[in-house]
Amino acid sequence: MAETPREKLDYPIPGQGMTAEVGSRPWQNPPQYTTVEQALEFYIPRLVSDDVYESLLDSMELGIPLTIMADSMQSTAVMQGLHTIDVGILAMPVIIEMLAYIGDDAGIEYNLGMDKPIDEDKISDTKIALAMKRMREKLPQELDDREEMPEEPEAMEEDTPQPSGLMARRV
Amino acid sequence: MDINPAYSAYTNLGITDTDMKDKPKKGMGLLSPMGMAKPKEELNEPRDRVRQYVARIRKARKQVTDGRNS
Repeated sequence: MAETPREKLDYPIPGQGMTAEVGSRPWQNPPQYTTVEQALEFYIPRLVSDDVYESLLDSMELGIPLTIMADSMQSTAVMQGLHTIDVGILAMPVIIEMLAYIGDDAGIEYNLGMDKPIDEDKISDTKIALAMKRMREKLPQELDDREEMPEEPEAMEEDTPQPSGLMARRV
Repeated sequence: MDINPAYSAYTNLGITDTDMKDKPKKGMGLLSPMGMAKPKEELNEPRDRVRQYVARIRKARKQVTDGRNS
């Protein structure tokens, strides 16, 4: 898609994020809740309140991991200046456990998000399937290109490693 | 490696089965073996308190699921 010069002008100026006056952002001010207990007193009644409860159960049924839900909750609260990141990290296990309790109490099968971390050496099935799909899309095009190209002379014989033992037969 | 901080915070608490068990009530009489013993100082760091909270909720959660399964 072609970019118009107007669109380029709409981008933020580098460093613009640091131009706000110190203290003008909520997280630059002293937090509202300074201890874990205070933060939990804020979270737990909200988790079981009518308006949040239903949407929590819906999210759980959708399979959203509880760890992700807890993390996004505390990140939002940090951004609102309710508590610091430290308090948020400390409160997260309790939030996760509370969410699990709510899920258990409602009889919902939820994803705790405690699955084994992804092994980087192992290629996932989805990645393999995606690569196969891309290859399939690319293959007919490559075949057409090959038909158009003149035949190349056969490549020279590859240098095979010579056996280096004393009794080895020389070729 | 991209790991959710909530995952790390939850798994690094290191809650054991002993955290979830009720402590036996100690006798307070003069002849009780525990009567004169000094009470152990409980750890009061935020992380220890969080561990206790999680253990309590987990215990309650277990009771909910056990009641359903039986």
